[in-house]
Amino acid sequence: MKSFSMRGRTISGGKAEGKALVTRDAIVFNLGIDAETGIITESGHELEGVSVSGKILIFPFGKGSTGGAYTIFRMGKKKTGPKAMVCQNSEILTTIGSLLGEIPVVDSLSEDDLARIATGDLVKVNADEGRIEVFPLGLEQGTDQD
Amino acid sequence: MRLTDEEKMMLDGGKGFSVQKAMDIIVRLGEIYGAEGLAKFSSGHIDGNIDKEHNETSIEFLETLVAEGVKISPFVTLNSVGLDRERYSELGFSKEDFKEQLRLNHVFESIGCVGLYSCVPYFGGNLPRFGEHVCWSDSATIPFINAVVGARTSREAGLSALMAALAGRTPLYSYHLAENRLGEVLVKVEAELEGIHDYCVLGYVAGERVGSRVPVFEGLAEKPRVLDLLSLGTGMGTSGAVGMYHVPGVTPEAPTRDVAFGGRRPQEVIRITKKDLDLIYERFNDAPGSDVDFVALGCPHNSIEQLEQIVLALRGRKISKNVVMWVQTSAPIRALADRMGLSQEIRRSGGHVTADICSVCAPVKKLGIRSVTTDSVKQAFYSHVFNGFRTRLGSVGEVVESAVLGKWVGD
Repeated sequence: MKSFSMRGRTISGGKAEGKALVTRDAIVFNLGIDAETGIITESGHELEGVSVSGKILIFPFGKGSTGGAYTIFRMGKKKTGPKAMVCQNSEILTTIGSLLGEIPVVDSLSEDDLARIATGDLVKVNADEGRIEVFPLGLEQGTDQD
Repeated sequence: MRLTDEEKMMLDGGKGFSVQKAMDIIVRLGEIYGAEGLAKFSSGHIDGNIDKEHNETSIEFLETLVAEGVKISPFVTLNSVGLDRERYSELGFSKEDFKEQLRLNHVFESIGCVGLYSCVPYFGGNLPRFGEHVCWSDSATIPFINAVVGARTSREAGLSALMAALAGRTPLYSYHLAENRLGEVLVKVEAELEGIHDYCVLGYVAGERVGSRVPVFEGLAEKPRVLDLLSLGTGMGTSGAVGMYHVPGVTPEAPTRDVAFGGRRPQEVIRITKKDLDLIYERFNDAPGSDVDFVALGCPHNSIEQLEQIVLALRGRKISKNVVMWVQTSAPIRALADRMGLSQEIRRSGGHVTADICSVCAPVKKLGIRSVTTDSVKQAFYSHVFNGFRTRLGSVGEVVESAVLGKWVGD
């Protein structure tokens, strides 16, 4: 499988690269994720117990309590959160949290676009230009399946 | 985006660092979401509630932001928090437990926010008029203010509402614009609703299915009351990102279904049956055994009418000695309940009437509780995701009866 790139909209600028962590479930940032560890705590969430820390988090949108912006902000400041986030629709809590917490975010990708990315793929995010490049797992050198 | 000369001056630092930083963020939000301009606003509501632990980073940021002594111009209230500042000790806490909360409260109060600390601020003096552009956060207050009051707010986060308060401006996007307030999805309710607990669960089911779209509800048997609508919006704000809805013939922007949809056809028709509601009750009735140990009533905060209902349901009986019961409300409503003797009745039964506090935000793990019994699916949901508690969910009657018996009496 070859690498491919996609374009979205800049929400919060910056560049980052890392392994993708993909979910089709919306994320409750307020109280549904532990800002100290980046571990998703929402019971029944597809990624319950999984840490978003150091990953490129691919998700549809944030939901629930608008206090979630503080969680994103804090993960950004303390570097416990994702290196970057890519989503369908960055609603206000995701946007304000990532702007103030300085986490690069690109949105306006379709559900089908996001479905092309799998957990473990290497993703390079250039949020300043709203561009992401995806290197499917096994393509990049020295892949480790963590 | 169009900015006035005054707004450009604020962006250039003419009104100090705090306003400049806030304006910068507000303008960026406006640009991202395609606002044509900003609106001055007079009513705001800030959810200043951050996690109960490890808040240093957020608090330091906020302290730095307001360090030069800025004062906000809009009237802004604050959302419920993790502290009852008058009665924390009888709840089993010490002042030490709230060091960070107090610091945070101070930040917001120092810039001129009103320390109402309630998730029903419209019952405490913050009630904008129909059609007014406002700036509100808290997922349950937003659908109420948009759909029931008819004022216009985007679904703001606590942080963006703070930035808007500092700038005195909110970007005109999302539900500020008439076209974004129109119905998109028709929700046909095929279930009898027996109280606000059912409205809240109906909202939860609807929120899961409509996501961030605007639902229009049909099939609500009688004309819902304000507390029913409040609960409906609360449920939708919990499971989805719903900030606006219509009930034709009931909510002010929907005299008819056709008007609610702006003459368009619904994108989708969703049916919600009794079975859908039952599945949610099943999901949030997962506490093992039947022993009840912690009861939280009032999510959002109880109105004075709900406090009367709780006293009626107690019928002068004592709750089980194994049960801790919090009846959560706001400070002005508690003051009224004190005057009416309702607080005394609840205390005589062994319960607490709390103000400001929400058990989800409070350090309740310290109290050694094992499960949470409540009449609000929002309370149950956040008790799960944040505190890791198993829950029981039923009507206020079932919850009060269970508190008295110390055993769950619901289905």
